[in-house]
Amino acid sequence: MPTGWCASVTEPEAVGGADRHRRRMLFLFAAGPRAGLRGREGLDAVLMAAAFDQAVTLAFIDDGVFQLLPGQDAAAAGGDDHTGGFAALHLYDVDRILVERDSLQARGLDAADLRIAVEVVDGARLGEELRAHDFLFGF
Amino acid sequence: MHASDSLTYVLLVHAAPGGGSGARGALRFARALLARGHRLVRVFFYREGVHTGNRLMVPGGQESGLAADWSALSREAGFDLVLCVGAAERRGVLDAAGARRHGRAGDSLAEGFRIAGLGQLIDAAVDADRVVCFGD
Repeated sequence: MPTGWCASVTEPEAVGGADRHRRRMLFLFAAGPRAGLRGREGLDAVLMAAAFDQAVTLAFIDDGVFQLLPGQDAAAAGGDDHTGGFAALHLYDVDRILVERDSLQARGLDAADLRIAVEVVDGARLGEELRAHDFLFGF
Repeated sequence: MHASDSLTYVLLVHAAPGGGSGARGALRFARALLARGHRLVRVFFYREGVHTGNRLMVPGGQESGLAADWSALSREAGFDLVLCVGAAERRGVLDAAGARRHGRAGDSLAEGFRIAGLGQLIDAAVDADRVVCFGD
């Protein structure tokens, strides 16, 4: 999975549906919560898009699913913990949270282990979601 | 090219100069889209991309002069070069105001770049036809 990638996939005529200024933005998290600043900076971008009232979807794949585990004690490792921010997303009306099924299973997890309500999707469905968004941002 | 075929682009650069092709690739892409008559509104540097705007960086090799090349192109084509303030500060890229604010002995922002919030990325993306990201 390429990291730090994103691209716009729309044709100009199809932009944004009915509202040109409310774009469909998907933020993909593919790295674990201790992988440098990727999770933290991905979440900051999500919150800014929500503050601009954009149609925001989050997707978690590969080690990204670890971002959603509860009980992360970053202080014990001497770090700051951004993962609490995922628990507050509903306050920003961000409630489209997708988690890729194989990524969970390969890590011995299921949706019940995660700290927020998510929609578990298979790879094909995730691909459809990527195509259905205007802009994709990868972290 | 008809005006209606001309697209508005925003570039998002996640890659630091040196050690990969993303950083220099973004500049080549910018030149190419401009040469084809498209419009570039903003290049936003986030994550490790903020190192592009660090005037103290000495990447060596092909990546030397990347900041100056961006700066020249932005002046010529009329788009702006923005570093995310949070990402930049975390990585030691500060403008004069930021250096004063945080009590640092010097500033490190390269000429032609400015430091601003993440909102500048979203704001530009909202009105763009294409957002293309360069990682590594």
